[in-house]
Amino acid sequence: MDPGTMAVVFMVILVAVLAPGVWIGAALLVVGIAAMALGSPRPIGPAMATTVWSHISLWGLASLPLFIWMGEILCRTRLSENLFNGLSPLLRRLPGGLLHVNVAGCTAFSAISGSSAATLLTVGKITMPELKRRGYPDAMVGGTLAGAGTLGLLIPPSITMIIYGIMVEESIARLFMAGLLPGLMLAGLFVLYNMGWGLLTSEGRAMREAPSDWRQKLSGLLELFPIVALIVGVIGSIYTGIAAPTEAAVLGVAGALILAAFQGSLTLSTLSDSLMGTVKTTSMITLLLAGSAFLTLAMGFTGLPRALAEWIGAMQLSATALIIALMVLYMLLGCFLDGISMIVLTIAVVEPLVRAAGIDMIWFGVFVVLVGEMALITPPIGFNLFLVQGMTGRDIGFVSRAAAPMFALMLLGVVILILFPQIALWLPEAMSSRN
Amino acid sequence: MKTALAALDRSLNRLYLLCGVIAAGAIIVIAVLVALSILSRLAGIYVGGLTEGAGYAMAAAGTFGLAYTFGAGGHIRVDLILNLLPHKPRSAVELLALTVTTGVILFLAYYFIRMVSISWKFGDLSDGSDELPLWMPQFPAALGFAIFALALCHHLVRYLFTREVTWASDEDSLLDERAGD
Repeated sequence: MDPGTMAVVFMVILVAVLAPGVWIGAALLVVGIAAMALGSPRPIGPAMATTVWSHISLWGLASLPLFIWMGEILCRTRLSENLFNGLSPLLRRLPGGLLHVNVAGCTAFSAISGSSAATLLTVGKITMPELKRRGYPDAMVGGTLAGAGTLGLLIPPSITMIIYGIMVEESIARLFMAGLLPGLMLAGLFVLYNMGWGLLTSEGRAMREAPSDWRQKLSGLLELFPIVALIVGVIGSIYTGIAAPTEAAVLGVAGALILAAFQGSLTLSTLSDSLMGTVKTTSMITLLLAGSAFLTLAMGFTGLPRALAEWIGAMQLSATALIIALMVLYMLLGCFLDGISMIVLTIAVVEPLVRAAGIDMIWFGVFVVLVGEMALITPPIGFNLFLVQGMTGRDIGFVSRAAAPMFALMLLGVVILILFPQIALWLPEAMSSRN
Repeated sequence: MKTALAALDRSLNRLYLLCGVIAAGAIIVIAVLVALSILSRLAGIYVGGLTEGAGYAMAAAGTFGLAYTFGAGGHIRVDLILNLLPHKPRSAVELLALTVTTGVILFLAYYFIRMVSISWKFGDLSDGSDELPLWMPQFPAALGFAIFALALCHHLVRYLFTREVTWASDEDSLLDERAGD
């Protein structure tokens, strides 16, 4: 079968199993079986078992449940109150007022939690009722929360980046370094948007908060201290090369447990809830990884990714044109899938393509995670939209419109990342030349 | 007959929960093993096998939790079309999705068990510094997949008889769970 027909056949099979709701990991296994049956005389079952085993028993993967657990512990502490009380006196005087707490709170929590859902829920739990009470419009509160809640994917530690790093066999520590500046850039864009709203709209100009004195600012900083200490401990130990991400994750779990104990929220029931929550996410990802690992192997046997890479190569596409084509593809996929599913679904074909085009895999990781972030706020299926919908009680159409400016800002962020790849690559280079 | 089936249903659900608790235990084991490797490195003592051990515990955690996660609605899928369908066709499509998933996981579980028995027969050793017989760490993962396959069969049979969706979609369960915090 020629590669073109083969590609169409696999696409049809993939859509045919995904559309009726076959669980994604299992759907990937089905497509992998079909690919091996068509493309290779090897026995399928034994190849599946050995590939799955080698991909779910990796040491690097062990960081994943640990970072998830850390976030699960922290979102059951009083950390969200600390964030609000600490950030409010520092930021509320800016145009846009308390909306900045949404952005800064999500940014800070992203740096201690790997998941965007945990980030959004932890921050939104306190900002949402407080900002509503003060009369901020739902569209701004919900929109900025949905947008800033996606930062959990980009700012380290990040579950999506760990999965990407394992799939393409790139250093997770370097990915964690590469994600920081683009994440902060995005947060900066959200802040500018809030300030623009605060300065340029009559609604925004009316929402000026009372200034805070030095005592309030100082006590705010004190409230932020445990969070800052956790961020510095976990991310700092990775950046300085003292600890591998898996080891830093254990430090994070220990820190989270100590913090929870200090705040008196470390009970047997919160501990077991946090562990069972971790089990759920870990198993969900294990099934996805099992499916994706086997699909990648099976695709390799068919020779399709290589043929596709040669085909694209023959078209003399520039790397930028390829990236833009992939961006459009991922944005379309993002309407129906989340970032992690998008990556595990496409990586078997996309990785050889991107490598053949000479694109840096660390940069591509940041790119794909950023586009995956956008998937969280695109209707009809956007996980953050569902979460904000649940919190505000507004319908999905309203929440989607509220998040649309954030989507535009993220698109701007992607364009900046393509124009200036050093935003992602400078920090890992600087760090590795120092160590 | 009916009470016997109900009792079987209950005990199977308890089995999945128990496996979930074992998975939670495996996550604690990961944390302890990684912590030990940090401490031993600080103390300047070399302890072999800690790295591999954490990977094995990861495999056990990820697989033992599969059945529990399924029942809790933790696994993800595209449910856009399902949600658009009216009741009758929806139930047929739901059945199709569940059947395909069950079939492919049975396939995986069968070959996983077969792989473990081959490792055992030939006495394969791990490549790592632990030099453990490979079947030992592989066995829990095989068991995890087998119990997941069993759970899917169980959900499938129950769905055939009751037409009750016993796997809530993940965003609902996530919201319910967090709303209680």
